Amino acid sequence: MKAHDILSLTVFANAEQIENAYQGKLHALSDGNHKDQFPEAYKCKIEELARAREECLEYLNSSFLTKTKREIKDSMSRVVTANVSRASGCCCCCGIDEADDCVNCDDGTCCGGCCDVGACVDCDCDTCCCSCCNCNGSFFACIGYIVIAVLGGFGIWGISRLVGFVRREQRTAKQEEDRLQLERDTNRLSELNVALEKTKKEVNTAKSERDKAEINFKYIADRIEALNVFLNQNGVDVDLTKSNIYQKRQDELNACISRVNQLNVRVEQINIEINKIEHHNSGTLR
Amino acid sequence: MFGYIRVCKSELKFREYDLYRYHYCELCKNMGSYSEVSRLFLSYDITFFLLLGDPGTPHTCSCHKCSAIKCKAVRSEGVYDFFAALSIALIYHKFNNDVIDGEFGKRFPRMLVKRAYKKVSSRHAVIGDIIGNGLKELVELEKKNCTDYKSMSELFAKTIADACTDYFSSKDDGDIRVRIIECVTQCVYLLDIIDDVEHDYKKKEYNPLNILANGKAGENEINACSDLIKEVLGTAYSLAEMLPYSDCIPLVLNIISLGLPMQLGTYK
Repeated sequence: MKAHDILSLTVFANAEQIENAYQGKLHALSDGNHKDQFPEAYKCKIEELARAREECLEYLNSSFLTKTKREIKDSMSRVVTANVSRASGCCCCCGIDEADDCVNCDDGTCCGGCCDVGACVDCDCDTCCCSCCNCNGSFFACIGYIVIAVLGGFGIWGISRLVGFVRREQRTAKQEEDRLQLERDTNRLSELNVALEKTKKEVNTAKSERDKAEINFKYIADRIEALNVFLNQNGVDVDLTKSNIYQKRQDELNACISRVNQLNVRVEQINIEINKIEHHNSGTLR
Repeated sequence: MFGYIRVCKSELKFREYDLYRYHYCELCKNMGSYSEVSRLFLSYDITFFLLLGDPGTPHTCSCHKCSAIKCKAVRSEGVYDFFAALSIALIYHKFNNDVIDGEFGKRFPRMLVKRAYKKVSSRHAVIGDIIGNGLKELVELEKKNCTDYKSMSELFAKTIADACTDYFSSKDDGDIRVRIIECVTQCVYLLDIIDDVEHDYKKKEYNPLNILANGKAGENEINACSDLIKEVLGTAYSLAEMLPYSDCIPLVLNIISLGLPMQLGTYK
């Protein structure tokens, strides 16, 4: 309640608290030493405090129903509806200052847009939206809102189009990159397959060469061992395994074995690479 | 100005805070009538002066049209217009002084509010002149490295109060309201001095407390300044208590008794 606010009290204050608050405010006023400086204001404030004290006491002694009625009245009169209306009078349409001045309605509380029914107090126009009663802004505001809504709609549409375009571009670029990568992988795969076939053939050739060299070496080794035994039994101390022909055959055999091993390693490497490419493109290739 | 004059939000009622926001918004909108860009520079300080102008509580509009389109405003009071003009004049002269001091970075914001200031000069010529002359005098004193911060704060406060006198002269208790503005503005100037001690010391800029301390201002200098702020705030509070009750008075008292002391408390 306003009276309580003046004395800095709540509505639950009892008589003693009201009296204390009133006296406290009076003391504070006189302590301020402004009595002589602003006598009129001081007098007015004293009166205001006394009035507030009386109202507070009256409120305290009133019935529950009266208290409620007062509280509702007080709350309603102090509602802040920011940005709804800045009208100064009771009627926001025609700007009438006092409820009694409204010729369009007899209602003391005036006025839910009574001049809207076709009787503007200031001119003979049929609608409320004439220049004299300050409502003409509504029409232009309406047009303005429509224009803003249309422009806003276009703006949102344009932005969504732009976003869509950018996303499509990004998707196309990604697809193109994937396609090129796939093409590169396919080419590489065919190259590797060709190389694998070639290497496998080389392996087979090398294996046959190795087998041949093995047979030759075995043949020479058998003969040389027999000759070694014969010569040793006849008193000739000689080791034919150190002869040039034996060493040459042995080197040939070792070269063939090493060649076969190298080619096998190569085959394995190619297989690993093929598996890698196939695994990488497993989804796409399928 | 400086943005120090703020409410202590936690101690306000919802209704009071709504009212505060409403007046702040209205002030901002009215600055838009001078120039839209000037709205960027609005501070809470001017809202306090506006509250002392007692602009009244907005009424509820029950018109059925309001459900779709808001009714056009009937601007019957010049209070918002006056304080919007005051705000623009203060902003412009602050930037102008900064540019004169060699802060060329402030040329751009000054250019932004120049158009608005021209309109202020045409509508409220007195405001621009008073603030321009007052701040010029203050800058000259600062250039002379004046250490009497009390008289400087009084000069600043007097400048703002003089600019407001034109509006408040029509009110019965206008002289009390102007005196409150003077006190609060003096506090703002002193708060700014304390706030800038560290910054001014590092940048080697003018600060009376640093000059008095012959280096960085210590506890003694800051406490002396704080005591002066408290004394001036006490005067402002006792004056505000003399004002007849209106919906804006709780906000005014909140700012003086809690908002500004809280600002002072942050430096401690």
